[in-house]
Amino acid sequence: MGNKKNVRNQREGKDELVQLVSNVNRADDVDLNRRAFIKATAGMSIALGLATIPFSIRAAIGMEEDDDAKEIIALDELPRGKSATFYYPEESDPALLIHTKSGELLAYNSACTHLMCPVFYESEKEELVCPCHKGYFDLKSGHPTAGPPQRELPRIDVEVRNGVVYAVGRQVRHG
Amino acid sequence: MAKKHLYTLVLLVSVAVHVVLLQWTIEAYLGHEWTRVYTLTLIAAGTTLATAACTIGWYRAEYRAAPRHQEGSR
Repeated sequence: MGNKKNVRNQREGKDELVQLVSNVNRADDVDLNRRAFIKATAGMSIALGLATIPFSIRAAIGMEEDDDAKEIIALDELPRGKSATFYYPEESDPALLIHTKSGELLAYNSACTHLMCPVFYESEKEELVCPCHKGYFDLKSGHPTAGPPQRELPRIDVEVRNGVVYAVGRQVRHG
Repeated sequence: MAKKHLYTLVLLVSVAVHVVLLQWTIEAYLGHEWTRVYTLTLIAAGTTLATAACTIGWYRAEYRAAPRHQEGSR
């Protein structure tokens, strides 16, 4: 009888009562329960809500752009149906100047709005292509026409002065 | 519905709301739409305060001492 009592108080044992509750892990019941779930949910919700604040701070700190005209290329050096790469407004912002077959000058930042891969000008079909994930942008508007990109390419305003093409401004969201 | 259940429901819904707000904020930030970023942040701050208030309310309701049994009753 003494042996039976000792077995009953042990985690492992052949006693019927132990076998009946052998699937109960008391440690987990203490730590992982309804209250813990609700507390974790509340904490996660508050963290997600507060996560928007750094974006506002970053936006307020200094995102103003320099709108001075920046020389890109001489128009003579860019025949129709060709494109030229430049950087605007910063050196970290690659851009593409396109001289369309119809003689129009269009410029966009060439970082794909999906995952920042470089976008190329496809002169045959007159469209902008991102080869990484087969994203396509309309040449005239810069808006995505196929593939994973959801936002348009930022449009760069260009001017021709004395035969030289200048970048004079940028519109990130347009159309 | 008991107050505790209402608080729990609000907390669960707030997770979805905050996920959406964060997604919209990031989209607006990437699109340089600063006004929209500020607006969404203000909304998120408001809902976060409401979530915190609900959390406190739930905590009080959950851990409120159970009424004592009167002597002689089972």
